[in-house]
Amino acid sequence: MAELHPPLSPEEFSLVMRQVGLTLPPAEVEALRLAHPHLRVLLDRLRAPANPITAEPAYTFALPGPRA
Amino acid sequence: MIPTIAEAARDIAAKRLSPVELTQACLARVEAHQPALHAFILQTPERALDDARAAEARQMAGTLRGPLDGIPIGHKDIYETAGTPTTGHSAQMRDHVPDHDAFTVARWREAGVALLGKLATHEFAFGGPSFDLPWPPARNPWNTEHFTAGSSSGTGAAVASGMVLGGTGSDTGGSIRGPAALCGIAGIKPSYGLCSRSGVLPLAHTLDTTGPMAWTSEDCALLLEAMAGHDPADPSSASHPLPSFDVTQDLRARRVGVIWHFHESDHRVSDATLRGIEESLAIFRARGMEVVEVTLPPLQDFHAAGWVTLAAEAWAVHEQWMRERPMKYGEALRARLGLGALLTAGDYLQAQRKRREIIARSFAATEGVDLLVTAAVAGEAPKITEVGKFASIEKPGFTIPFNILGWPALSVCSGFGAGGLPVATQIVGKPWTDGLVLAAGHALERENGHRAKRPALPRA
Repeated sequence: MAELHPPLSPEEFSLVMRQVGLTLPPAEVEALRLAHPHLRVLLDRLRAPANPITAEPAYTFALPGPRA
Repeated sequence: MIPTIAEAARDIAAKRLSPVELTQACLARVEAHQPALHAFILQTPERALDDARAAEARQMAGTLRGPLDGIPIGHKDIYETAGTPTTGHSAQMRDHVPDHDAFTVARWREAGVALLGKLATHEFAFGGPSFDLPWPPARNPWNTEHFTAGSSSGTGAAVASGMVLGGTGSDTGGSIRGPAALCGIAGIKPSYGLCSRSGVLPLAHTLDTTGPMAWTSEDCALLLEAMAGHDPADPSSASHPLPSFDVTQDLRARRVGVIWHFHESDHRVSDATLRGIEESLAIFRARGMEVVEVTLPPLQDFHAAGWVTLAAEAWAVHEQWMRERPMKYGEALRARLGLGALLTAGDYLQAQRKRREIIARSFAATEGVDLLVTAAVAGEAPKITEVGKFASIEKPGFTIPFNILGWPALSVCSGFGAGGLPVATQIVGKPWTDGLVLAAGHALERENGHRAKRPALPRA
């Protein structure tokens, strides 16, 4: 099991919430702040190992062929 | 004695069983057990009896439509039902009365089912169990103090208790297989694209799957065959011919890959769950199937890609209401959607990169393998009051890998734990081998004896 980051401070997390634009009751914001480290574990895992800049992207846009 | 769908269909066809009497027996069980189980959020007994009488008229006229004609069922309350409220178990949609049936609802209606009502779900198939919604959460028929799992919680409880013989579920990260496992029934998440999602309230578009839940795998096959098929209204709907749903197909020489690392080291399961998996493998070997070990990417990789994909897509679905009227959601869903709100576009795209990578690795690792086996859930149902609102992010689950892959996956009862509650085994197939998966489940159920035991139901 990966180690959890420490939670952001209440001040840092309130900035995050302001950026997101969500207004929730203070107790729920605090619960989110404490759960946030679990999310960061997942996000770290998605980025490990780091992809080179030339790595295959998630999706490739392709046009349909010309009409016959 | 509660018949399976297959048994009831045979008796209805032979005119040994009246669809009206079958439906009345289910309605009596609803009346007796609904107060303790809360499986339904809306009952439609008049509609059920009208449907049953119409089926009985066809029975007498020799014009039955097939094995589902006259079978009592329920729909998870995210499936739209014309003229009948569809709420998502949420105050947000409390007054929503659709004017169309979902594609899959229409398919079952045309097959002749008797609709007993709309079944409880975790709010919008994501938040729960919740005690602050207009309706209480469903309870586990094996012990009402325990969790049903979710989100198809009402279907799990209603099928296990015999209130209905089958019902719809939906599965984005395990919402069919979780409740099937904890309620001791069968439930399949079909191949992505096999069953339409149009008319079903969405959660996460690249993962959402509709599918059936019933007492047995054979019943799931009957229900699935009736709901599968191309729907131009759903962009994910596959247009190729349907696979065979024959559960009696020959399993000899099929190769079964066991994903030991999922349930032994990535997330260690209970002894009873492990015992059920071992017994299932012994049955497969005795039927002439070859059992080999398969190594997929770590469960934690699937968890990361799956959870971030799900939460980001769910946030996109609910963003407007979360900004405009968040307090009309229950607290559990607000919390989970709130985590989705914290994700960035970069996070979502990295999840898709990881998804693409683990799909490729999974196909390569399973070349020459027909079926996979692992746990469906870690053990018996916990107490409903002990399920945390962030539980799904804290530990990797065994079901979301197959939403990420889009492969068909079935949960079957494979025993009982120390607490007397069911444990389950998950059987997975390659895309479009849903019938093979169900045939493997059918083989287990015929030999493991666990279908003979129903919950001792509480009365109000």
